[in-house]
Amino acid sequence: MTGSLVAGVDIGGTKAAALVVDEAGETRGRAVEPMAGRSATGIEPIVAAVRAALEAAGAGDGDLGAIGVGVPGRIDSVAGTVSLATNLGWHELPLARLIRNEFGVPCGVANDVGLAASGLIGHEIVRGARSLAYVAVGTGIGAGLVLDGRLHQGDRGLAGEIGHAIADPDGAVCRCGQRGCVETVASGPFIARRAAAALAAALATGTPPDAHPLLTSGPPITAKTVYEAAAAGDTIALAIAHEAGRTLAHAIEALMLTCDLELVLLGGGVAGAGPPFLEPITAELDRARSASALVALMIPPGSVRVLPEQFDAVARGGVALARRLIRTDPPNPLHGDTEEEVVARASWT
Amino acid sequence: MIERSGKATHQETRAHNSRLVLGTIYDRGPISRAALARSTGLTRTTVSDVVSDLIRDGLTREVGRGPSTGGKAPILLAFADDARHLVGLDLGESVFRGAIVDLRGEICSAIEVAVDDRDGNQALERVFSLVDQLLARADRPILGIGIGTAGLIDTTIGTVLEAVNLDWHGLPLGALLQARTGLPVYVTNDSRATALAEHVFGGQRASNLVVVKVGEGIGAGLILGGRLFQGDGFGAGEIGHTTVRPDGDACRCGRLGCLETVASTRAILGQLASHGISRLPDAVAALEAGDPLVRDVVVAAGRQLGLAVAWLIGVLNVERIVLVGSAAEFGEPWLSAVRETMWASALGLLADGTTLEIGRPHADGVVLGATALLMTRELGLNLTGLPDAGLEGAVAGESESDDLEISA
Ligand SMILES: [Zn+2]
Ligand SMILES: [Zn+2]
Repeated sequence: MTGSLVAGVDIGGTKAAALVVDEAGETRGRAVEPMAGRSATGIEPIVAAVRAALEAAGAGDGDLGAIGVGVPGRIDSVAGTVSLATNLGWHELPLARLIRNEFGVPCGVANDVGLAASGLIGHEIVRGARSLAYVAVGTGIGAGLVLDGRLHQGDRGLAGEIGHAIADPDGAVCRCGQRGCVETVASGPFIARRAAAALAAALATGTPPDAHPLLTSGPPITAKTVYEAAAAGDTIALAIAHEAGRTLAHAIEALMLTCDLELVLLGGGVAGAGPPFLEPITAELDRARSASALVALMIPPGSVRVLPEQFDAVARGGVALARRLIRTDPPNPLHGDTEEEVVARASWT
Repeated sequence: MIERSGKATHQETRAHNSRLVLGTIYDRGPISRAALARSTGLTRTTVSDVVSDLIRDGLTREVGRGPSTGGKAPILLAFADDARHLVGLDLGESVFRGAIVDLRGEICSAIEVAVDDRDGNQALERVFSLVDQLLARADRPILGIGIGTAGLIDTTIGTVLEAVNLDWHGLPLGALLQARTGLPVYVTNDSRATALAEHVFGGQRASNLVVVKVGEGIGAGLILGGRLFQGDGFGAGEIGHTTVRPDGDACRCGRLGCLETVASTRAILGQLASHGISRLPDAVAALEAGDPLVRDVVVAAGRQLGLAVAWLIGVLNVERIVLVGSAAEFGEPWLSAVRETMWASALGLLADGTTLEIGRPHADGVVLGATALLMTRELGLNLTGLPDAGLEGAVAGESESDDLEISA
C-alpha cells in the first residue's frame, strides 16, 4: 500500500521545483533543485527535489502515493514519454517509467502549461471558469488551454504555441528561426537583450550611466532587473516593458477572440515581476476595450490576471494529476472519466 | 463530482446507450445487433432493447440479412435517413436560403429570397414567411428548425445577441419561431454551422477541424475534440476582429486594422472600387482574365488570411483547415497565397501535415450545419466515436456531464 502524500514537479530549463501535498490538500513541503549538471536522462534533480520536499514535510519515500510531472515540451502522456523537450535536450525519454522505478509509485507526465491550465480548473482562484488559458512567460512563451473543462492539446499535442506567432515581421530573429515572434519582444532573454541594446545605444550618444542606475550597476541585465528598473521609473526599462506588454496584450487578445476564454492567467518567471509586468498589458487591453464593443464584451476587465508569484501552477497541476492516478473508485466514462485515465489507472492498479 | 440518485443515473445511462447505438448505426449501418454490441461495448440485451425503441420511433429499420458467420445470417439494421425532415435556414448577407433536409443532409427542397434592405423587422418577417413556405413542403414528421446566421449568437437560448448586417440586437429568434411553429429551434453562427456541416456530413470526420468563413466578415467555426466549441460567451472564432494593422482602416466593430479590413471579400472589393470593379463576379472574372492589379489585391488579402491561419494552427494545433465563403470564389491564386504564407509563418512542426483546402463549392454549408446542430441535439446522435476523441480531455479537471454531450 502506498502513502497518502502526492508530489507535483515543475521541470524548467534551469530548475526542478517539487511540491508535496497531503490528502487534505495542504502543502506540506517544497524544494527546488538546479537542473545543471544532470546526466543525459536528467532525472537526478527531479528525484532530489521530490526527496527534499518530502524531507521538508517530515516524510520519506514510503509516505508518497503518486507523482505528477510537468515538462516544457511535447509529451506522449499516455505512454508517459517526453517526445521532445528542446530546452532540456530530451528526446523519447520514458520519464514516467524512470521516476516510477525510482519511487515505486505511479507517475504521470504532461506538458507543463497544459498541466498548469488543467490544474487550475476547479481551483478557487479561477472562480468556476470552464474555459481558460494559463500563459507562461519566461524563457519562452506558451499557453495551456482548457476549453469547456477539457484540456485541449490539438492533433499532435502542440496547441497553445502563441510565443512563435509573428508580432513584428521586421523584428529580431527568434530561436525558432522566424523573425519577430512574440518571444523576441516579450520573453525573458529578449527583454534583457533589448534593454542591454537600448542602454548601450543611449550610453553611446552620451547619456551618463547614472541616468540609468539600476541598469548600469551590478550584474548583467536580466528581465527581472528591467522590471525593477521600470518600477523605479527608468525610461529605457519602461519603454522595453511597454513594448513587451503591448505585444503580449495583442497575443492575449487574439487568444481570447479565437477561443472566447473566461480567464487568462499569466505565470512563469517574467510574469513573477508582478505589477510592472501586468500594467502595460492592462493599459493596452483598456485601449482596445474603449475602441471596440466586441473586445469589451469578450475581454472584460479582470479577465486577464497574473498569478501570485508563489502560486507554482505547474507543480499544482502535477499534484492534481498525481491525485487522479491514485483515485480508488473505478473509472466510469459516464462520470466524466476520460479514456486516458481509464488506461492510466488500469496499468497502475 | 455531483451525487446522483440511482434513478437519474439509470435514465442517463439509458439515454447515453441510445445515443451511442443510434450514432453507431448512423456511421456504420447497415450493421447487425451483434456487431453493434461489439462496437459499443454494450450487452446484446441492452442493444436489443435500445434497437426496439429506435425501430418503434422509425429512426432505424431492418434491411435484410448480412452474410452468415456460421449460424443464422444476422438481420442488418440501417439508419432511416428519411424518417424525419429538418428545416434549415441560412440567413446570409444578401440572400436568405431555406431548405427541407433529410437526416443524411440531402436537400429535398430549397427556397431563396433576396434581402436588399437592412430593416430588422422586415428581415424577421422574411424568416417567418420562409419557414411557413418550407413547412408546407415537408412530407415527413418535422424534427425542428436549425438556423445559421452571421453575428454573435447565444446558442443555448437561440438569441441573436448582435447581428449588425440584419440590424438584430438581442433578438430571441429561437423563442419567437418556437412559439410560432411549436417546433424545437436551434440558432448558431454561420461559421460554426459550416464547421458542423463539414464535421457531420463532410465524409471524413476529423477530431479537430477549423472552418474559416471569409465573406463580408471573417469568422471561424471550431470543432475541437469532436465537438463544436463555442467559447465562454459564444464568441469563439471571432478572428475577423483580431488586429493586424494597428494604424489601418476603420472596422465596423469600432477599431482600426482588424483582419476583416484587409482580408475579407468586402476589403478586396473596397480596394478594387477605384479600379471600376464593385461586384464579386466582376472581380473573379478580372482575376481569371489576368488583370494584374486584381491579382495583387487578391494575393495580398490571401497573405493576410494566411497569417491568421498560421495563428490558428499555432494556438489550436488543428491539422484540417477548410476555407469557405465568397472569397473562396477567387480560387487557386487566393488559396496559394493563403497556403504559402501559412507555411512561411507557422512553425514547421505545426504546419507539417496540415491540410488547407477550399470547402465544397455548394451554397448549402450553413443550411446543412444548422440542420446538423438540430439533428445532433434533438436525436442526441453521438458522432464523436473517434478512437482518440476521449483523449483530448486527458488531464483536464472533473467534467460533470460534458462527456455525455453529443458532438454538437
Ligand atoms: Zn519563434
Ligand atoms: Zn473589427
